[in-house]
Amino acid sequence: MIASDRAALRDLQYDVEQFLYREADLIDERRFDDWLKLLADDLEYWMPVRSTRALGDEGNEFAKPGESALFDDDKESMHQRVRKLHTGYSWAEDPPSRTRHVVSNVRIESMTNDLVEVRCNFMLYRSRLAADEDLWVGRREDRLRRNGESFLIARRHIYLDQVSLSSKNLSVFF
Amino acid sequence: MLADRSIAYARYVDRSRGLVNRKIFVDPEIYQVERENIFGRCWLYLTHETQIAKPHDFVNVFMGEEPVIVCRDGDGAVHAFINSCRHRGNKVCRVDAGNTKAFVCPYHGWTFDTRGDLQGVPGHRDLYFGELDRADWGLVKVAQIASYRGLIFGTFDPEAPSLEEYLGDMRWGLDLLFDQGDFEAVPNITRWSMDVNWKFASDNAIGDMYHGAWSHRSAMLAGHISGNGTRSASIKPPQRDNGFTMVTAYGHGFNANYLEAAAQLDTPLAAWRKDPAARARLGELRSRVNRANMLVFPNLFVNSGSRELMLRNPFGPERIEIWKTILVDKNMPPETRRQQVRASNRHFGPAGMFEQDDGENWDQSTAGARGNISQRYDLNYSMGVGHGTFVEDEQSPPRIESLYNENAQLWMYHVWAEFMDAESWPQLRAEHDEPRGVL
Repeated sequence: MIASDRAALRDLQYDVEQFLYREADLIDERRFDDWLKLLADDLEYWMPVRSTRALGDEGNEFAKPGESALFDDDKESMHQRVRKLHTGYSWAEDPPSRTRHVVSNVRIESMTNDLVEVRCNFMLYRSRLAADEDLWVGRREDRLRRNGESFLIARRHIYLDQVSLSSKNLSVFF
Repeated sequence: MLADRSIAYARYVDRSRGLVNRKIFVDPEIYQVERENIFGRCWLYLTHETQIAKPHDFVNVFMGEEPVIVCRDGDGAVHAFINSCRHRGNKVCRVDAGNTKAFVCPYHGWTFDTRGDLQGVPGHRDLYFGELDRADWGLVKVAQIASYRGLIFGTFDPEAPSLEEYLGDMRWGLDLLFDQGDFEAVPNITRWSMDVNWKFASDNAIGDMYHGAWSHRSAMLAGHISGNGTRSASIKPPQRDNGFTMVTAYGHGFNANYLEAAAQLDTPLAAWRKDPAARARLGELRSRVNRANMLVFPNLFVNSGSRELMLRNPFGPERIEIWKTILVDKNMPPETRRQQVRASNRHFGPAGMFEQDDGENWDQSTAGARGNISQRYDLNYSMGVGHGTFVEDEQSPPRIESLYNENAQLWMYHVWAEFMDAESWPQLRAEHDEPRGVL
């Protein structure tokens, strides 16, 4: 690899990381309308259900596309989720959750002129009411599409480490 | 009369005034009795037949707090037994599903076949002197198992009546869903837990139309459409006569709303409504139903509209785990199947546009039952008390021609008390009340 490629890669890594951190901040600051602007029109936002399987049967651990999922969304349904929060009747989020996203281990898997495939790990902590707490941990596979100086999220696959969630709801964004 | 208010548990339910005592939602001693008299007696939903389709397929489920393996033996016959080795009690299977010919305890290696029979004991000849009789030490079998329209149920009580008798008139209700097509389970189960007493979730299923327009108002205002294919996102004031309510002996029941005149039935998900064979199976009254929320007592919620099975299993007086399974018609075109699954994924489940607010509210109901002073003040289930007149005609088993009422919920608590006060299934069968007259 020649030096200029390495420099370009470092620049891209930096741009992608800064984008993901800014995006996480928008959610934690509850600037959901600004966050929606980062979603591509053909967004695929998916969190499959998981089950515990024996060694050797890991291929069946995650539900496949078209099967049971916790999120099975597109851009329009993500807009609905945000509209729901603004109605004044969204009991699961009023009073609101206090969330904190920690995004790490950001790794660029592949890229073309237009698309960057990124893997990262996340921890999403939620505090609610006086002392309710939730912690969701997992990895994400994001497909980012270049958009001028920034990116749009074209695909987000979210793989939780948990099988059975110890949470009364998932009224937050990953 | 099991309903005598001087009896231990009947006194927590006042049917004439529509009152239920808060203590039954949090009291640890009451919960211990529920484990015996309700979860130890009732037919409980285990799994769908298509989730263990092949010989040696198995799933790990729960009956109350008991972990239970449901599996097919080599001949395809279904067995169910407690997932606990008879030697030290360890689970002999620690995964959710799979296919196996044997369950091997990880502690000392006792090995059981898919009938639950003990086959292998390391050191049987030399260490046990060949004296341990394997036939006596098989996994504890669920006393009876049976299925209805693909749903496999089990009961720990050998004296329980047949599943058919237990479901009784509820079969007519369940057929609201099962007569729509030929169903299979979508792979994988959505599971999540919350600090909720199981009865709050059940009473929501059996008859709480009242909460819909308020609890789920934000989802409807946001333009979310539930998965039954009949497009109508309008929010109207509740109309009492826009549907009917049914309850049965042993605590089952449902509420069904009629299709709106303006409902759009041209969507792929509503295509079955134009099938003359389906309409003939359902008959005129059930063909008019838009969606029914149904409860198979004690803890299975069945939705005939978006086609889900939601089991709410208790893990203590203030904890449930929900298991959601989506059912689809085997004969659906792939794109329609995808559409239904997507709609269900967005509707129910912890992130569901509807269900996220249910979790919040049931959690709060349970929290509201904890206070010792609060417990002096009963909860109000009085909507429609004294107005729930049963119509008896050839169209259906006895039904109440009202959609908005708390008759079904109050009936469920009445039956809950019957189970709690009865000594045994024979007493319950002989002395339980049938829903007739006026609730």
